[in-house]
Amino acid sequence: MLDVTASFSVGTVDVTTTDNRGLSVEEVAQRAVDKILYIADEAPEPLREQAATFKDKIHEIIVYYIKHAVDQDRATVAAKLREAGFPELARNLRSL
Amino acid sequence: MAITTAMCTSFKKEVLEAVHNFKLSGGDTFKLALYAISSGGKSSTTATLGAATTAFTTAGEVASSGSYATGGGSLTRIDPSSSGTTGFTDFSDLSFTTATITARGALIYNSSDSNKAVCALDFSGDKTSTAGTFTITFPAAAASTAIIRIA
Repeated sequence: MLDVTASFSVGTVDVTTTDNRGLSVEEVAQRAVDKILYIADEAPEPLREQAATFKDKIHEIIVYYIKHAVDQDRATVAAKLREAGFPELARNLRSL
Repeated sequence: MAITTAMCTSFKKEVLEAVHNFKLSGGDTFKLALYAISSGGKSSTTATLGAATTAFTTAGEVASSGSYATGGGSLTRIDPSSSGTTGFTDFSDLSFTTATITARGALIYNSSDSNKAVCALDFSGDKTSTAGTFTITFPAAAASTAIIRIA
């Protein structure tokens, strides 16, 4: 008699929360890195170490470019605010 | 009253009936709703979620706050895939901003088809954001980690 089995599994989610602020650039970058590179628990130790080092490097790069993107976006919004007659608001935004 | 991480039994049956479509293009709309098990819920009843859950329920759901509206947030599907002998699918992370929320777990359900339940998720403790961001980070879309796996 043939018996074919299959099992359903549910993965694990992580929950992160903040108080009176949004996520920081570093926190967003960490989430991105975790999606880009997943290191399996059962991977050999030398591979895990190499992957972890690579992950740290990717994190640094993503942090840099997210900060750059945020800065550029604020510059654009500040320019629009100045054009609309809100120079002080624009200055406040640029000082964040 | 409790929330237990489980694939809903009704979902397993419905998969065999081709009820749910997780494809990135043209798939159903899946939502994630947050629940409290004590006083954090918007109603006096607390949530009981697990394998026996068959559909979205408002009992014990957290109240609307910030970008969280009752009924929960829509999930972005990741195309189903397979690796080895495991088929799997996943979702992108979901964030609710400027939200004051205390939640103990969540329910993923299919809002395209009578709000049928997919799976219940236990956060293993109350998670609280105060006028901040409440983020649910889904696991990597891989055979040993993805949120929904059939092996």
